[in-house]
Amino acid sequence: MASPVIRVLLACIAAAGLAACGKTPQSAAMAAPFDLSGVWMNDNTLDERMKREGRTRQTAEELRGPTTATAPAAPPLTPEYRAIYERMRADAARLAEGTQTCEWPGMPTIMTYPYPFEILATPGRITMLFEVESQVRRIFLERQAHLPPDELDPSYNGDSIGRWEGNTLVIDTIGFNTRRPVRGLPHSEQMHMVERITPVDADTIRNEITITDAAAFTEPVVLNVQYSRRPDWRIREYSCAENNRDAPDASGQRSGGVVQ
Amino acid sequence: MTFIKHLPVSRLIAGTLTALMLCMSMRTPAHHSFSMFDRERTMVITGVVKEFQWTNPHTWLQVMVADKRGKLIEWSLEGGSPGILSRNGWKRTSLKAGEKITVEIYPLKDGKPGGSFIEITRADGSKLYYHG
Repeated sequence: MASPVIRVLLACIAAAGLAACGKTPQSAAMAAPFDLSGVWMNDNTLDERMKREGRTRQTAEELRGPTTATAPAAPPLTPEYRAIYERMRADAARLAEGTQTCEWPGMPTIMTYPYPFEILATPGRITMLFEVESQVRRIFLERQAHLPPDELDPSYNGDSIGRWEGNTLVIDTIGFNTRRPVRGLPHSEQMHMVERITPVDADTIRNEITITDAAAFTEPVVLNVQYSRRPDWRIREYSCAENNRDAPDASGQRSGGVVQ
Repeated sequence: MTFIKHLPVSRLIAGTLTALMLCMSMRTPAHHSFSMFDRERTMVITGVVKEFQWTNPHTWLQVMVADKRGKLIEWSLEGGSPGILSRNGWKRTSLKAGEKITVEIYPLKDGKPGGSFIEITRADGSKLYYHG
């Protein structure tokens, strides 16, 4: 049997634990070590790089575009997903150059897109309001576990829970659908994304994104994105369906590329 | 440059260094490849604005341009989204129907009357820019 002293100690620890559990959302939010509120923009987009460098023309390398930066010949995929990858590439090859559908970007692409997003830091919650597709992402800071499997509908942006580790906001996300590739790679519903958002200075944050998928990836996909605060910017409405003249028509051509 | 006037120098230097580091570690994919345009060459067309579509996901500039025989051909010129253009100094009222303009473009590879606009010069000499 535990001695009375140990029993008192245990009771104190239990009481402290209960007190911690009973923390109001407000006190948890006030404990946030870094205020993420505001409008943020990916620093590494073409537009932002060019403005920063005072350029009005792209370099030859930029003009050659992503055709030279496609996924490597041997993508880090399991045999099953390598076959899916080859089918995806064959399907894409049937479409004319420059065609563009209007699906939501999904994760992690929305976090690396060349459009700004606004963060609202409220009690127990970080909310991201993206310009692209006027999307919303909710990150729950007080929920310790993900939704149970029967509630976890596969979705573009998944189920996100977050916690602070020192100055770093760690966001854990699962529950993805498989409609959008990850850096050109197909993935399964087992995909798991961890983001570590850390301040670089008062107006700059870095997001280290690590994505694993036991069924599809043979190694983690790791991305690093940096965002700057843009207090003067406003988020605009954006719906790709408004006027997508690059949508593929039945024959795979750009439907509204030119006025005939 | 006018684009960077509002940023303090220290932020510019820090931002540039960090951006260089990030460039080495990853390339942000463009929203859109614009791969249907011939970016090996530019051409300049002069005409009259028929319509400026200030829309997502991309803006479109419809310009009536006379061909060699004087017949008016409608050119379809694609540009960045209103969000991106507005952060490069554009407004939805920047170009008006009936206005005479000169446009530098990357033309369509297939030779049809279209392209992506790079620089627009208005009658008063003022310019609007998008990287195309």
